[in-house]
Amino acid sequence: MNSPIASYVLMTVGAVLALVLAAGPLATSLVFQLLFGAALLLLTFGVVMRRLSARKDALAGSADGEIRQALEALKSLHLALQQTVSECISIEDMTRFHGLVQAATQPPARDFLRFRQSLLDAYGFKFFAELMIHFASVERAMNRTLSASADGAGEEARACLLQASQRMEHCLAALHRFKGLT
Amino acid sequence: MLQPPSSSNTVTPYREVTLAAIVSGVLIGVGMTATFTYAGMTLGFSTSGSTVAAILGWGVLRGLLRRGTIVENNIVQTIASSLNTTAGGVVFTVPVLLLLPDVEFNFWQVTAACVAGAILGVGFVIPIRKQMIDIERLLFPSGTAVATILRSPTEGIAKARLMLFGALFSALVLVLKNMDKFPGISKSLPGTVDLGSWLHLPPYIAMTVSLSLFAVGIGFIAGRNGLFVLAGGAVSYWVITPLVVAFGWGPASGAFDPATVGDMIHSETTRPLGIGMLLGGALMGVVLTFPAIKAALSSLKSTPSQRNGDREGAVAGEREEMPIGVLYTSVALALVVLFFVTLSGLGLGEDPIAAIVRSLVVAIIGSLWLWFSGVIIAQATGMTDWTPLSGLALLAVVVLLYLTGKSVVPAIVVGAAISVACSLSADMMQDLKTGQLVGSRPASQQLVQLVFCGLGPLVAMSVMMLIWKTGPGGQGGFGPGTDIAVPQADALRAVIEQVRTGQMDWVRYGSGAMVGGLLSLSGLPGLGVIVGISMYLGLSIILPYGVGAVARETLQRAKGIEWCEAKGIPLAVGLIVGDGLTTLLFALLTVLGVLE
Repeated sequence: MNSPIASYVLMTVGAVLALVLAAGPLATSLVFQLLFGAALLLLTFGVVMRRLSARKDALAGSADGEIRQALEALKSLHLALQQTVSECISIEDMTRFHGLVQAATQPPARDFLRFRQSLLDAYGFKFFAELMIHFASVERAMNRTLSASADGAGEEARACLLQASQRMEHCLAALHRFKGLT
Repeated sequence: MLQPPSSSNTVTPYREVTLAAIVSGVLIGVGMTATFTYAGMTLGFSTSGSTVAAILGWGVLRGLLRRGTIVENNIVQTIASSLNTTAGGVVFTVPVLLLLPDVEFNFWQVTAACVAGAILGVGFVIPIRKQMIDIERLLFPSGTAVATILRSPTEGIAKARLMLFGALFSALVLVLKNMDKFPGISKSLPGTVDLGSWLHLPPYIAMTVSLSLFAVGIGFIAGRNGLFVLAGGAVSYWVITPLVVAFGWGPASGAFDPATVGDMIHSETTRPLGIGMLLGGALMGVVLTFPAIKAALSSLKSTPSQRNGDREGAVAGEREEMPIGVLYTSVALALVVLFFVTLSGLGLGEDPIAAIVRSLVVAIIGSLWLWFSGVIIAQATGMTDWTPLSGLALLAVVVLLYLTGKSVVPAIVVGAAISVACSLSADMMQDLKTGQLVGSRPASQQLVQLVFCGLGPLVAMSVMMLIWKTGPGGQGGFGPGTDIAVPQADALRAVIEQVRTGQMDWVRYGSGAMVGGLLSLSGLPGLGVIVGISMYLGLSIILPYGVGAVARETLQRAKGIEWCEAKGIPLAVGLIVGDGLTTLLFALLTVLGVLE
C-alpha cells in the first residue's frame, strides 16, 4: 500500500476508533482509557505519515508537477494584467472593457488557486501565507475592476486595473525573495 | 426590474459607503431583525439574512433610487445582516432570564452586554481576516452566494434565469411544505422523509432526510468540504450510535425507548464529542496559523504605504484595513462594559474586593473565550456554512457559571454577549468574503459593521420584551405552555440545571478535543472542525447538504469546474435565495397573524 493511502487509512481508523471509545465508559474504565490512547497513537501515526508523504510528493513533483503549474499560472496572470493594462486603459466602452479583463485574468487566477496547495506542502506555511496575502490583494483589485466596469465606473475600473498590475509585481517579487521561484 | 446605471463612463467617485446604502441597510436590517427574532423564538432557529438583504438592497438601490453599485449594495447587505444576525444570539440566551423564577431582569444591563458583545465580535475578527480569507481561502458558501447575487445584474441573462428558476423551485417546495399553516388547509408536503422506516431499520438508526433545498444549495457551494461533513455524519449516526446501543453504554444502559434513544445519544454523547472536536480542531488551527495572525496584527499597525509597497486605496484615498487603534479601543470599551455588567449582576456583597476581582476575571476570560469561540464559529461557517452557535453558547454559559460561582444572572448576561459576538464574527467573515469577491475594501465593511452592529441587539431585545409583555398581566408572553415556546432557551435552562447538580460530561468534550486537534494537524485544513460540526448537526440536515456536495463533485468531474461555476452555482444560489425569501415571508405572515 502506498504511503498516502496508508496514512488516510490510519487516520480514519484511529479517529473512528477513538470516537467510538470516547462514546463508551471512558471516564471509569482503565481498559477504555488504554485503548483510547492506542487509537490516538494510530491517528498520530497517520497524521505524521500524511504530512511527510504530502511534502515528499509536492517536492518530487516540483519539476513538472503542480508547483510548476501554480508558478506558470502566476506568470500568466502577470502577463495578462500587463497586456490588459496596455490594451484596455483607453477603452471607453465598459462592457467591452469588462469582457476583456474577465477573459484575460480569470483563467490564470483560477489555475493558480487550483494548484496552490502544492506550494504549502512543499515550502511550508510562512512562505505560503505571505504569497497568498499578496495574491489576495491582487485578486481584490481585479474583482473591484470587474465590479466597477460592470457598474460603468470607468475611472475606478482603470485605476483598479493598474493597481492590480502593480500589486502583481509585488506578488512575484515576494515569490522570488522567498524561494528564488520565478 | 433592475436598471443598469445610466452612464457608461462616469467621472464621479465610485459609490461605496453612501447615505443611501447606510439608510437602506439600517431599514432592511431593522425589519429583518424584528422578524427573525420572532421567528427564532417561535421556531427555535434563525437564519442568515445576507442573501435576502442583498436582494432587497438591489430592490431599493436600483429599483427605487435608480442608482447603486455592486460594492454599494455590498455595504447595504453588510449593515442589514450585521443587525439581523444578532437576533439568534439574543433569542438563544436572554429569554432564560425572564423564564427563571426569582431573577431580576434589567433590560438595559442585558442590552448593554449584548451591544458590547456585538462590538467585540466585529473587533476580534479583524486580525483573522487575512488568515481565513486571504490565506486559507475558506469558502463561506453564503458569502459566495451573496457575491453571486450582487454581481447578478451584470452576469448575463443565462445565469439570472438559472438563479430565478432555482429560487422559484425552492420557494414552491417551501410553500408546499407549509401549506397546513394556511387557515382551512390541513395537508402539506412532509418536511422530512424517513428512509429508515422504509428500509425497516431500528428507530435509533437515523436516516431521516429533510426536504431542504437550502441545505442542498449550500452543500453544492461547499463542495468537497461537504463530503467530509457527510462522512462525519455517517460515522456519528450509523457507526457510533448503533454501537452505543449494542453495548448498552450511556443513555442505552438499562431499559430504554428505541424511538428516543437515538436523540438521547446525540445530545448526551455524540454532540458533546462534536463540540469537543470543534474546540480542539479550532485551537490547533489557531496554533498552526499563529504566524499569520501575528503578521495580520503587525500589518494593521503599519501605515497603508508600508504594507504592500504600493499605495493601497489609491483611488479613493482610503486604507484597506481598519487601523489597529480601532480594534484596541473597541475591545477596551467592551471589556469595561462586561466588567460592570458582571459586577452589577454579582453585587458588591460583603466582600467588595472579591466581587471586583471576580468580575475582572469574568470580563477577561469571557473576552478570551469570546475571541476563541468567534474563531471557531467563523472557521466552521467558512468551511461548511453551519454555525455551531448554540453549542458554543451553552459551553460559554457553563464556563461562566463556574467563574461566577454558579451565579446565574451574570453568567447568562455575559453568555448572551458571547452568543451575540459569535454570531457577529461569523457574519462579519461571510461579509468580508463577499467583499473579497466583489472587490470591496475591508476597512469600509469593518467600519460600517462596527458602527451599526449595536443596533441589532437593541431591536431584538425590544421585540422580545414586547412579546413578553403581551402575556397576562404584562408578562409571561412566551415560554413553555404558550404559542411562543422559545425551545433553545429551554435547552439552556436544562444545561444550567446540569451544572448546578454537577453532571457535566467533561470527558467527552476533552476526548473529542484531542481527536479534533490531531485531525487538524494532518495538513488537511480544518479537518477537525469539519468532522466536529458533522457530529454536532442533525443527520436530517446533513443528508441533503451531502447530496449537494456529492452533486458538485460528480458534476465537476463530468462537466468541469467552469461548467459548475457558470451553471451550478447560480442554480444553487437560487435555491438558497428562494428558501430565504420565502422563510422571511412566512415569518412576516405569522407575525401579522395571517398564518397559524
